[in-house]
Amino acid sequence: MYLFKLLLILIFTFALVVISFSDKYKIHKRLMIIGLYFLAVLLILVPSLADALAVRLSVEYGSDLVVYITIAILVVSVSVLYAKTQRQGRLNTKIIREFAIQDVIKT
Amino acid sequence: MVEKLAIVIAMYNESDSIKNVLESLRNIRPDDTIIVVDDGSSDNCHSVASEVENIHLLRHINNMGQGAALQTGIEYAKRINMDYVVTYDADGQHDAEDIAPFLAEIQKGEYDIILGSRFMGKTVNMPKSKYYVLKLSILFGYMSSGLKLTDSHNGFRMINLNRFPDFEMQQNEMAHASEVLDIIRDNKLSYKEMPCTVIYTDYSKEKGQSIFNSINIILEYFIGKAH
Repeated sequence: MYLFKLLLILIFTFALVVISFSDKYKIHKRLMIIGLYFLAVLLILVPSLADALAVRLSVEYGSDLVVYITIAILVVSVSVLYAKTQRQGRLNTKIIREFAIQDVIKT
Repeated sequence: MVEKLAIVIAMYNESDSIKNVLESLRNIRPDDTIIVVDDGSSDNCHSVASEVENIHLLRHINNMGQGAALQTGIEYAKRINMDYVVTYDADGQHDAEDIAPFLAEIQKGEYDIILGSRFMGKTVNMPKSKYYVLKLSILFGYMSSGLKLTDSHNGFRMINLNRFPDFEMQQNEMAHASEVLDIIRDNKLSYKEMPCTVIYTDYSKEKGQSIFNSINIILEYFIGKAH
């Protein structure tokens, strides 16, 4: 059981390190990521905290609360990533189009 | 002043058909500007197309999709001061003889865009399954754009760049055909359908969209609209 908890904490720590070095985040984004990290670690170490929070938020069980939060974070993350991919795609199209126009061959 | 027409062709791995298509176009429309956009083909259609005299050949370094390639051709046509643009398929489905009546109509100056309709015109060897898919896509086009048309997803269309120089498609893939209807509706463009011929050869049937891909196109359209 402890080994599994340790493994989960290691996974979260690895994700935090990867995210921290992958982009230049603004301070509020950095604080949000660190906050989420500590919340995840806290919920792993003290599961009863999730139950207490669940009662306050009118969710019956702590495990349900964790699932809801996880789904919400996943949906937001996927949406943000999708929007970024689309923006990047439009930019790529413009660049490729400009190259094509500049390099026109007249036979 | 002589008004200038550009024929824009998006080409992707069309080495088997492109030479015939371009030569036939060149014979029938000797004075028009032919713009071919190679959409990152992996075959040798670029060098095949370059053997045809008097064309403007552009190349996408990556495969971006038919909508992106057509828009590149249209953008180039604007920059070389063309008055009208007709989009034309690279697989030999369209008939170059249809260009003249479209041009005569659009030169009257009443329409921003003229859409080709195979159901007002003629189809040759159209598979039954294609017929039903197209009829469904007409219904889909009506529900999404509110435009009552007799055909949809027909690549043969003529745009009046003098009246509507801001024509721009954002959809890179096949959903650009539905986007054209949205552009007409959103910009309150004056439009008309005219008969055209679509010839289904074994080659074009092999290259064309499968029925299942129609679902992809619808998804593409909605995802593209969402951002």
